[in-house]
Amino acid sequence: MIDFRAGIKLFLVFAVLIVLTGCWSSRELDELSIIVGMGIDWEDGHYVMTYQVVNPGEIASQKQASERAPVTVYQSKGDSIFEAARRLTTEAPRKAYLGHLQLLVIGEPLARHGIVDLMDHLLRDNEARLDFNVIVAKGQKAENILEIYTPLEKLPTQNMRHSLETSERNWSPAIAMTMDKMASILSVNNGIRLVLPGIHVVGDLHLATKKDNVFRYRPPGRFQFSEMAVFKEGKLIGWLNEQESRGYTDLTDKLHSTSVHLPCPESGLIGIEITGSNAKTKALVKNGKPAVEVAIRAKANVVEKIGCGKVDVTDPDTIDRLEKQLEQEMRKHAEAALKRAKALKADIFGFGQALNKVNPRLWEKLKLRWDDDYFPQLPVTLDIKANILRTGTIGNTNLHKSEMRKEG
Amino acid sequence: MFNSNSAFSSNSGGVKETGAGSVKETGAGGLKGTGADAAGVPLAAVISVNIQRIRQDLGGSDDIVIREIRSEADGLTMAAIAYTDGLVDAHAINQFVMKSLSLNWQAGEEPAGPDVVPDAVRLLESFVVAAGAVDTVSDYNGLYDAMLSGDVAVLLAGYTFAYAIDVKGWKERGVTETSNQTTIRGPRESFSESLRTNTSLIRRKIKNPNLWLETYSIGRVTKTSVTVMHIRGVAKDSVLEEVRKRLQTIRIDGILESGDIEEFIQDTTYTFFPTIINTERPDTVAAHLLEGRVAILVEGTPNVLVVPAPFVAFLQSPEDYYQRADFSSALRLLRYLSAFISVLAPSLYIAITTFHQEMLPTALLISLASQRENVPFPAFIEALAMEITFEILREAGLRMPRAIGQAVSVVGTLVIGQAAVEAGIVSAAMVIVVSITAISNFTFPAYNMSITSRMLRFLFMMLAASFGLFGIVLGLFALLLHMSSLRTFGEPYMAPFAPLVVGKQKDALIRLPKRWRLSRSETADSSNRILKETVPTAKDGENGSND
Repeated sequence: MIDFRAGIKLFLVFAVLIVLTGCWSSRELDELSIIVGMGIDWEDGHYVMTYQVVNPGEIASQKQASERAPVTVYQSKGDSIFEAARRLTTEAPRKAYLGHLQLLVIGEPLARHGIVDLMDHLLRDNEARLDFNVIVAKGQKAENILEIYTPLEKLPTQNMRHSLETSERNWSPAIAMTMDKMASILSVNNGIRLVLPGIHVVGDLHLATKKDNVFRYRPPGRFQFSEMAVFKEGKLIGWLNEQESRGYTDLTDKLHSTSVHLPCPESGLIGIEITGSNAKTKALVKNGKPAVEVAIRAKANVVEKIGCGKVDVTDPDTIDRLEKQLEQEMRKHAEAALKRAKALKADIFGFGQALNKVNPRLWEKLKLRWDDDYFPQLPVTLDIKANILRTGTIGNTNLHKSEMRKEG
Repeated sequence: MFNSNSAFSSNSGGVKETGAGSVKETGAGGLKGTGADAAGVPLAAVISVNIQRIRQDLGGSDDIVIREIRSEADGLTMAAIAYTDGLVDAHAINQFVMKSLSLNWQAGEEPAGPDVVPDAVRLLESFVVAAGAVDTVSDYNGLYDAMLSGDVAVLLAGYTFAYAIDVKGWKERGVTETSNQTTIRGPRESFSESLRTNTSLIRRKIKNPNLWLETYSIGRVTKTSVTVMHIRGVAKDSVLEEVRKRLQTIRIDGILESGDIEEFIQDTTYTFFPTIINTERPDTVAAHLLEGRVAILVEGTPNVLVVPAPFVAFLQSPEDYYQRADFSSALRLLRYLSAFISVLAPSLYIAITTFHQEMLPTALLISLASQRENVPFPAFIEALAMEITFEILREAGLRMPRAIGQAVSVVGTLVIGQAAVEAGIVSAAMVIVVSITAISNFTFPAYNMSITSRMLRFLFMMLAASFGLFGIVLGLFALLLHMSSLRTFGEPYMAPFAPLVVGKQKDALIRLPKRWRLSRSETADSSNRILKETVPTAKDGENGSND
């Protein structure tokens, strides 16, 4: 009996506990504005926040989708990011939820103004996960990027993010940068500089923001990832073009797979698929002066032969020659990237970090003037080895045989 | 407390007093004479007095048949037989008792006085021996016990005792196929309501002199036979002693099902977890006996109790041992997984969709959000409504007449599966969650454990709705502590996990091939841990031989 009473008391205590605490942080799914894309611009000394919010009913329902847009874009202005976000509730019916943010677009004007301050809020806020991608809208405001109707995937940001991730894996002049990586780069004062992928609008921006955009076989307005934004001290200072971007990914071991073409001796070209590459950066100190060696080992396949019938890819000597050529091509890219970075005085390759690893004491002395004085003078030795493993499912095609016989 | 003033009280007696007969004498003193007011009234030497008393005590019930046999010479009643119609084999009475009784009586010397008793007894025993076991009873209680359990009582003029001859024969359900604990492979037979049939089903599987039975009569009014079976030398003595002790403390008027026993002898009343196995499969009981457990069979029910019952035993199917080890292990893991789903699926859904949306992949979140767009209730209410609806359907399915089962399932499917979703009252995802929960619940080999998971599910749903995953984790901690503190007949409930017995993991979460697992379950007597080709004799067991 005593046991029973004690049990009742215990039960009451727990019941009270549950009732009093309630469900204070619970949010039903239909009370959330799921923000998938966020754009930040800089206008007249204020932040302009653009939020892309999902209309779940338009995205996932099996029912015939209505004529509404799959996402809604809200915009608000404020002195701080948080203020701008909360001001949003005056127009949006639900509370903003950042947990599923996919993409942060930074407008070029803001990027040039400086991005360090806006990062503080995103890192401090516990709702946003740090795995969203950050991109810079080249020559655009961020809001424009978030208003594009995209084909294939209804969610524009999902479309952009997938495109970013796919191109990062398959196309060397592309990288993807997530918030957490970006924060860790920015938190290092020196030794490595931030590079963000750039996005720009191809075609007619005005038409791209109309629903009509996705009703065409060839959407009149599209986005494209190209070029890379180089930051120094949190400010955009310049862009890398495609060749420099290739060099950048080669040197920083970000290359997964890509396509390169090599000219044939007389005419035509040979298409090469790089299937894997491994870059190792090693800092040295020679006579008290820093130097860097980068060793790149690439694996490649021959995938295409255009208009150079005389080249016999079944011949090992040819392969050797192609390997040499490929190494030269890669060296050209890397040198272009190095040249550009040195000109910008921004150590985007992390050579300073490498030096810090081998000789912290020297680094301590150099780090304050690293980017401006030492990095531009830094001797960089490139050791590039390419290995062509396969020539595809055919050797020399029959298609050119007659030609070869005639000429040969 | 249970002091009964009913008309039955005069009949209540002690243990069935049988010696050579079908049921072994127990000698368990505590069970004897529970509330016996007429216990010691001896039989009278005059038959007519006895007959009158029987009629009076049994209220003249017309299923009590009393036949008097009169002497041809003087027309006096020389003997009488009394039995309960319906409990005896009428053919056996006619063939063996009546016929031989009258024939022999007429042919033999007449019992003139007390001095000829030995002859008469010898005579009687010799002619009725074909009918089965014969006992003597000397008081009314013994007489009623015998009569009411299917013996025929033979009263002789001039003697203050009667013979109880076993001619039991009544309509009973035969041994049928298992209906609740089915397997693809393995014996099909299941226990029936007859205690003797049930013990024979087990005997047929374990033909060993060390398979011992003890029978108790429990229930002041019903006097239900309860048989405890164990293999001597294999079962742990402490467990056996505990079973005896707990059975003796039962004070109740009626035992109609083994559940009545279970409630009295279980270790902890205030728990959701069953600490006693019940099964309708003889092969399961035999397997448990071989592992050193103790079986409790109750007259009148096909459900046999087995103790001690650790948690893992409730997730083991008899088929685990009949199918290949790899397959059985995979299935057992699947069963553990579905046990988790059955307890936690709705609560995890509630917690994640209302507290931790960031745990979902974006595409899934959007899909779930779109389904919830027009649902008017919070996820918790939605889940609760669906779960309760399902429980109602399930209960209805169990209770309703079989003929209308179709109608209920149609209505249930339509109401839950379609109409509710189409009307936007619940989301389709919730229907999926509730369905997988319900189906997972059916994978428990033991029905009583599936009830446990149903109860726990609601608790966890409440915790999830109030505290999210934090609540679920807290609940799991509390549950783990509770389960680890449980005992089943003195043995730890969570063995072999808590306490961890490494050697016993061979047949816990998974089942290793049989040739790898030589040692017996931890419940077995420690002196006797290795399975041998034959079960050791009583002497071997005591000597503690191993290997």
